[in-house]
Amino acid sequence: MIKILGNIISLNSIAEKVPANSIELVVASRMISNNNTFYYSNINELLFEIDLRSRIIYASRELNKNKLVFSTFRESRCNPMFWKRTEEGGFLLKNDVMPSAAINDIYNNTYMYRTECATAIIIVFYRAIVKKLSEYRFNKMFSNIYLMNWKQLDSDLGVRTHSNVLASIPGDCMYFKNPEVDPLKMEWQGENAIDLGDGTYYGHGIGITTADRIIDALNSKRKAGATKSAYLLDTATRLGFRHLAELHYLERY
Amino acid sequence: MMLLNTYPYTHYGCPMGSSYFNIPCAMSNKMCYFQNNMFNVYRASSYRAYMPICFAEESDILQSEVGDACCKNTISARNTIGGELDNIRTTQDTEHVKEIFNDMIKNDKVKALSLINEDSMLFGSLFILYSEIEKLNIFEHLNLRNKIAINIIKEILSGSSELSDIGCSPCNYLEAAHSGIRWMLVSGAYDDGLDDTFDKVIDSAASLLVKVYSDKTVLPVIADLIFKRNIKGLFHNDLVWVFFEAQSPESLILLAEHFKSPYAADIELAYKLLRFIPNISRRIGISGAEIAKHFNNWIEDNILFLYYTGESFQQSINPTPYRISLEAKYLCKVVSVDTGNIIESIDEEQYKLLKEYSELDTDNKSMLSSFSYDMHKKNLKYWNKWIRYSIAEQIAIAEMEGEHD
Repeated sequence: MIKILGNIISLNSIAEKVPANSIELVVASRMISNNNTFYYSNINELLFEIDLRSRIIYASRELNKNKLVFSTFRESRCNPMFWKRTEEGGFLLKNDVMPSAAINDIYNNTYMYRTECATAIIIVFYRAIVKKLSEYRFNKMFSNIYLMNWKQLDSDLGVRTHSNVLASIPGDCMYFKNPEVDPLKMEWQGENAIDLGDGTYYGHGIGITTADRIIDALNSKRKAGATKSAYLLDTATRLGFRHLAELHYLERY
Repeated sequence: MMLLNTYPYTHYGCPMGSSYFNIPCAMSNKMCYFQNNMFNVYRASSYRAYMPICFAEESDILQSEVGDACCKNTISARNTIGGELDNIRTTQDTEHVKEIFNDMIKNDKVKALSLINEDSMLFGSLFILYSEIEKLNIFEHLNLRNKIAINIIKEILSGSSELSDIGCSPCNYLEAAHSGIRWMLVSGAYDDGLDDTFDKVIDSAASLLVKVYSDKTVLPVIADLIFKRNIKGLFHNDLVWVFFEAQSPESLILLAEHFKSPYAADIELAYKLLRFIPNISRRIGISGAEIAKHFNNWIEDNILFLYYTGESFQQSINPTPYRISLEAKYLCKVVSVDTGNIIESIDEEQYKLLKEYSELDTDNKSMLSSFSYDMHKKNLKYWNKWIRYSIAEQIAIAEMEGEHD
C-alpha cells in the first residue's frame, strides 16, 4: 500500500504520471499490492523512488551486459586511474577524480574491474543515483566513495536492510543464503541479487536468472554431504529513497 | 601435550575487567547462577558449546600472545618454541631459507626431514617450503600433519579437490586432519600477513575448523586475527564471517574486550560487529569501558536466550547475527543457538502461557521477559508463584514492581 499524507494512492493516479507498460508501472503496482505501507509526504517523493528503482534495474542489466567479472576480494581489480585498490580488496575513490566519472568508468571500462557480488550491487546503486541526480549534486554528496561490502558505506546513501519482507519490490537487493557452503569456497556463502521486476534477479557472478536457478547455483557450491538448501531470506536492502529525494528536490528548488 | 581448558587463554592473558558479577549458565540444560569473572564467563558458558576441554599443544598456549602488544613479541616466542627451521627464518629471508633447506636435503636428507617434521615447527615454515617440497619430491617423507597441510594448501591454491592416499584409515584421518588444520591456524597465526596467499590459507583453515569440525576453541585465535588485520588494513571479512558462523554467543565476549583497547580502530571495529546489541553506541562522551560494561550487562542477561540468525555483512548493512528469544527468556528456559527453539521441557501450563504471551505486543513481551528473568534470578520462590498468575496479572505485577524500582 502507498500513502501520501495519510491518503491511500491508487495505481491509476500513478499510471497518469509514468510511461505505459513501463518498469515504473510494475514498481508502482508491486508497492501498492505489498503488505507493507510506503509513506510519502508528497507525490514527487513517491515518483522519485519509482524512478530511482527503475534506474537500479537498468543499471543491473547494464552491468550484466558489460560482463563485469566475478572475483573474491583478494583477487579484485579496478582501474587505477580512478580507484585505489585497498589491501582488503575494496576500491577507494582517488582524491583527484570526479566521483561520477569514477562510477561511470566501471560501466565504460568494465573489463578493467573484477569484484564480489556485494560490491557489484553497491556499484549498481551508485550508478542509478548518478543517472538520477545531477553530476554536480552527486559529486558534492559522494566525495568519499569506498566500494567493498555493506560494512563500509556512505551514510548519505541511506542504505538499510529491512526485516520481515514478505514480498520484495523491484529494485530491492535480496539475499540468497547458502548455509552449508563449501568452507573452501566462502565467496559462495550467499548471493546479493537485485529484483528486476519480471521474476528474475541480477546476481553478480551468476547473472540474470530466476530465484530457483540462483538457489541451484549456490547448492552446487555446498560442502560434501550437505543437506540444507540455499534459500531466499525475508530481508531487503534498500537505498534511503526519501532521504535522496529530499536532497534531489533541495537542489532543484 | 598438556590437558587444558583453552578458554582461560582466550585473549592474550589480558582480562577485560576484574569486577565480578552473576552470570547464568546452562548446566544440563538448567539455569543456574554463580559468580565469575569475564574469562570464566566464556568458560562457564562453554557448557553449551559441549567442548569445554581440549588437548592443547604448547603452541596453543603461546597463541594467547598472538598480536598482543603487551606480551612477548613473536620472534622471541618463536626462538623458544618454534622449530629449528623457524629459528632460521628469524634471521634469514624467505628465499634464503629455501636455499638452506635445499642444501640440507642434498647434504643431510635425514636431518632436513627431521627438521621439517619437528612437532614444534610453525605452519609458516611449511608454507614457505611448499614449492621446495613439490620440487624435491619429498612428500612421502613428511609426517601425517605435514601431508595433510600440504594437501589442503594444494586444494586451496588449485581450487579443485583430488582424492589423496596418505596412508591412514578414514577414522584416523578425521582425527589427524582436525589436528593438522588446527596446527595450520594456531601456529600459522604467528606469520599472518606473510603474504596474501598465506592469509587465504589461514582463512580457509579457520573456515574448515568452524564449519566442518565445529571447533569453537579456535575462536580466540580468529578474533585476534580479525583485529590484527583490521589495524593493518588487511582483508578480514572471511574471518568475521567464520567467527559468527561458529554460532557461539559466548564468543561475543572476545569482540567486546576490544572496547577497552587503546586503539581507536579496535573500538570502531568492535562497535561495528556488536552494534546489533541494543544501546551499544559511540555517543560522544561514552568511553570504551562504559560500552564494555553495558555489553557485560546485556550478555549476562541474555546469553542463554540468544540464537543465531545467519545474518552477515555480506548481506546487510546492519546485520543482527544473534537475536534474543523473548519467549525463552520469559519462561527462563535455555534455547538452541541453532534453531532458537526452547530445549528444556515445557509443561502444559507453560504452553498455555506461551500461547497468550505470543499474542502480546513487542513492548509487553519485552517488559515481561525482562521482569521474569530478573525475578527468576533474585527470588526463585517468588518467581514460581508469579509465573502461575494469568498474563494480565503478571503484567500488572511487573508494571507495579517496575514503578517501585
